[in-house]
Amino acid sequence: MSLPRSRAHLEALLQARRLDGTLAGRVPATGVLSTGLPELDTTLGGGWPRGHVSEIVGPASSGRTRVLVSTLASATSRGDVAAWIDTVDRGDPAGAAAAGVRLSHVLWVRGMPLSPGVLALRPRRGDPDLTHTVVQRAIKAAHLVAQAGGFGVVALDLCDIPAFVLRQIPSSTWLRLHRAIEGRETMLVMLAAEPITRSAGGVSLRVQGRPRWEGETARSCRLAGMDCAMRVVSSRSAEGTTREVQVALAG
Amino acid sequence: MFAALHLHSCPADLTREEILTRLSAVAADMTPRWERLTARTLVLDVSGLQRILGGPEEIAAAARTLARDRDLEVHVAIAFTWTAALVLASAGIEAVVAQRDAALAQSPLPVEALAAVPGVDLALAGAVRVRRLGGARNYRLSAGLGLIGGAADTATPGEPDSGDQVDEAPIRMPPGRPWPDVLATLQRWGVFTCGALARLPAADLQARLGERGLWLQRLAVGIDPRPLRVQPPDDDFSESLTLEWPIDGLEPLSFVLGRVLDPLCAHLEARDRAAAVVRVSLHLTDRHVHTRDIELPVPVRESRVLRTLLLLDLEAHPPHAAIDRLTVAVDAVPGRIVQFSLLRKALPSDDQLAALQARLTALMGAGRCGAPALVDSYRPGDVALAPFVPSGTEGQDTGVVALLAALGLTATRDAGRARDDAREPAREGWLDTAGYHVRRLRQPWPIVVVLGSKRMPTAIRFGVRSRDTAFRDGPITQAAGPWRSSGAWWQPTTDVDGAWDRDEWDIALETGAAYRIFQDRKTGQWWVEGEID
Repeated sequence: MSLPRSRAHLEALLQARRLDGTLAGRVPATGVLSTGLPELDTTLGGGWPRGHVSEIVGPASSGRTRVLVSTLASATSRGDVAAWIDTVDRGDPAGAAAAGVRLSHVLWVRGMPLSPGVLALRPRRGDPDLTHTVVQRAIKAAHLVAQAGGFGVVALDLCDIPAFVLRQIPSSTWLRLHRAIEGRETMLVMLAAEPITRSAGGVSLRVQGRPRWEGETARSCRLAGMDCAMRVVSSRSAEGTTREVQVALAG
Repeated sequence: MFAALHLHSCPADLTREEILTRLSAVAADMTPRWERLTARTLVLDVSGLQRILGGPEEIAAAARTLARDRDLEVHVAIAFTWTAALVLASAGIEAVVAQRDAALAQSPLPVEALAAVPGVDLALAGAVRVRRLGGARNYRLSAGLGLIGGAADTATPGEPDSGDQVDEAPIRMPPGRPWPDVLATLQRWGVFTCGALARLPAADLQARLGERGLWLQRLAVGIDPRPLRVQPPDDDFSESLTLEWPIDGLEPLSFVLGRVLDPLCAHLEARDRAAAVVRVSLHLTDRHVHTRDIELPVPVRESRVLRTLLLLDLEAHPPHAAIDRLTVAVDAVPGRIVQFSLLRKALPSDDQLAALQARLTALMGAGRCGAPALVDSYRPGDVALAPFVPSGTEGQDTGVVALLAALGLTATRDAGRARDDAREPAREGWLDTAGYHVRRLRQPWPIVVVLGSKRMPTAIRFGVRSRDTAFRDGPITQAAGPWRSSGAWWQPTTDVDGAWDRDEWDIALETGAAYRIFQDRKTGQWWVEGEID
């Protein structure tokens, strides 16, 4: 059997099992959603692909949350409704409103506000793992929202969750999330310190930023924004899989 | 649209039964959908009568004519909620109230006018009452609304009293302090009118007067405590199922509920009705009856949605024994008319949102999901949750749900202080509009800060040892501050909403992380407020 025929046969089998979402380009995006940052939109080819799972990853204080807030502002200002699954309740609505988010169009799901001390704990054998429970609840909430439909953006914020907790989550959990929004106008975006998952047509945005300070003297010094270098890893079918863009986030 | 008929005067030789019969005949001549709330007051659902009789003024005139034919003089008020119509008519005000003006129309009325609603005992002594009610002339001056018909007399003859109340369809009200106590408290606060009551912060009102205070506030803005119960009922919307074997657990109950709800919803659909309240009665094996009443945020007749809501409620309030028999009855209201627009974004429907929020509440806990709302406060990180009721239009939301949301009546503790989006632009001048976001710790984390020359922070220790957490110790490379912030000095610092007085700093560490930290000026303790991201 020739290679194209083998591939076609394999794809037909996957489609029969409804697993064709794992193939790049099989499930086309149902549109794009602007990130609210023109430079990033240009690099992404218009914005985040709808109907796919994308992720924003980066270390602490890299500007990743600001990119998410910018996306929420862009979506809600166009009339979309958004859901923000805030796993450990770190959201700041006042800052989001200042960035242009229409708060009445945001469903804010607040998880348990775990302190840094609790998040750093590794449970002893046999003890209940509070962090794991909180993450499972957040993922289930994201799944419920994605299944309900009608939302333009579903953001799952896992920034403060230690990597060892996220690595324990089986990959089938993420696959179920992919399936919940496949073919819909919903864009699911994950926010984390390290890459977790994205669907075949989704985008990974790695943000590396640092704070930008203004003021000549110690007394006049103030935090003015973030200088971010964003590295875009897009779908496997796209040309030029990795691109970089510099964005200055300012008020 | 509802019309309330309040008996003003009648021949002295008529008995109570004769008055009831004549009033019922007037209502029945107008519409089959009416309810008798007191011996002197009826409420009619007049939606659809416009095509037969004309506008609201013509409907009111027809009702007056029919009553006059039976030697009765009635006051007629028309509004989009039956509570508003009832309160206005009972106060002797003959007015037509537009859809969004129920709160405005009731605002000049004294709080005692709410005694028109059965079960609310706010009656005052006669002379005081007459002065407070003031009559239609005073109402016209203060409300600025158009009255229908001639100016009514001061409403003294037909005031409802406890003896007039009809017990057939009682209004269930939340338990709480006796009504005279509630009224006396409101008067001590200087709250004499419905408008003043409506303007009180919902959270504070609930803290002081309990659920009964909130319930009264809803009446003051014209929100119905329950749907109209038609007399006689236009149909029996209830289904029962006796089980061959008792069932224990929610999973088998799910299938049984489906068998009961499917024909019930089909019946509702055939009569163009929808459920506003669902009552479930579970007859248990120990001869007790487990009853749950669920008030739905919007009228629903989808079997799956109702089943989900019932199961979620029963999950939170499970029966204590196995179930022998179950009965589901609904309070039916006219079905909703949903008009979609090509120019509007497709938003999740109200039914979907209700089911979704019920599921999320069951998963995350009460008061953990909703729309974030800004708080009228300078306290850093202060936040509230308002009901999530997105609207596709750019303007303000419409309807009672939006009115409820604006008043924060169904929101969490802080909702009374929540502000709507319309006021957000006013905050731009002082809001943090920089190109970063602060990931706030709801409970600030105590830290140790090393100070250098001129008391500048030079190093930070979090006291957390983990290779995965973002909170790592290290020297500070850049610091900006301090910015002094203080407020609520009149409250003790130990309260959640207590006083604060602090110096804030934005710092960056060698590790690349940036934080907002602050020092409490009273205790000298340093805290992390959040991570700048």
